[in-house]
Amino acid sequence: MPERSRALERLLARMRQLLGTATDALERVYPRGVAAWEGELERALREYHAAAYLAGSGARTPDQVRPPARVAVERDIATQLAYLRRFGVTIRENATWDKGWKTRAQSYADAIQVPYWRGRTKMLPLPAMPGEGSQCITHCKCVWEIVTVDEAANDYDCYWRLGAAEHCQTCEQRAATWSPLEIRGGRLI
Amino acid sequence: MGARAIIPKRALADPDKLARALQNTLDAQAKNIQVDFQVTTRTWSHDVEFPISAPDPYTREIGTSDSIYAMVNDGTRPHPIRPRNGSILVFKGGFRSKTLPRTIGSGSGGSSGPEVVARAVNHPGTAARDFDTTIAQKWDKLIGPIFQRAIDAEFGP
Repeated sequence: MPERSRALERLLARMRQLLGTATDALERVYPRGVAAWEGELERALREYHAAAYLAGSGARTPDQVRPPARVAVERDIATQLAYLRRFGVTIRENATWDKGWKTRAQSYADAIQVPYWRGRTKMLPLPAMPGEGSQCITHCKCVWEIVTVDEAANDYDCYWRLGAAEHCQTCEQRAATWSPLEIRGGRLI
Repeated sequence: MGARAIIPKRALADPDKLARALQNTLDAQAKNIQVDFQVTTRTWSHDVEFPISAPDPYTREIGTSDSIYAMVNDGTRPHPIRPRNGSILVFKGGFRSKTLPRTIGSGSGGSSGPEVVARAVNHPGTAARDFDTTIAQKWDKLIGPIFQRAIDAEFGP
């Protein structure tokens, strides 16, 4: 059974730990320190989104990443920063510390799967990425297996593979139906 | 005050690539919707097909001709049930449905409990599941990243 790459798993684990540590530090000084906490999370989001794209695409250095891919990753980051701003407002407006905030902060790590899969799937026009539109949402451990049929012709066979986890019905159906999903001449068949 | 049109010297984007991005978005969205329809019948005892058709280049239809699915989706009014050939109905009194209104999923469901014997019954009707509107509303919200992926595929690396 295929699994997500070790690189992605390492990035997820490190980012969750970083976000958890930052939020623990905020809890110790709360209600002060929210702006500094936001700054730390923003830095983590930028760094790990970029790292996730590099890990998925196989690029070794950032200058190997072409502008359209950079724009796509910046867009992903902007989406998460918008959520972070709203989260910051919630924290500032609350009278007391909420124990659920640490888990909520750590869940931002799951979002790095989006740039990772964009890089891994060569920016193909696939219908969904792991965690997108499925019952399991960001807990999804499924993977795309991309088989190159003819790279010059832009022909690929794409398989949705169930990961090493309990599967939701959406992912089970995707694995049954998208096996494979054919891309021919850049067109989704 | 006059107006002057400012016309770009060249096309802002390759029209063939844009057309392909649009087609890929439509097809990707249709495939996502098809999967969700399939999920709603995953535990059913009979297979229900949800073919994708393209009545015109910029439309996709995902539907089914299955009459039972239509009744479950649209709901039924209270109605009497009488036996067809015999003179008696026999069924188990307890029932748990496989699907729920406005929920994209299907469970095990089934009948349970002691058998009931009756000459006829008044079925209370079935609440509409509204799978079609629920699935459409869900993917309407999610089309942004799908469209962007299709554009990135055309104008990306």
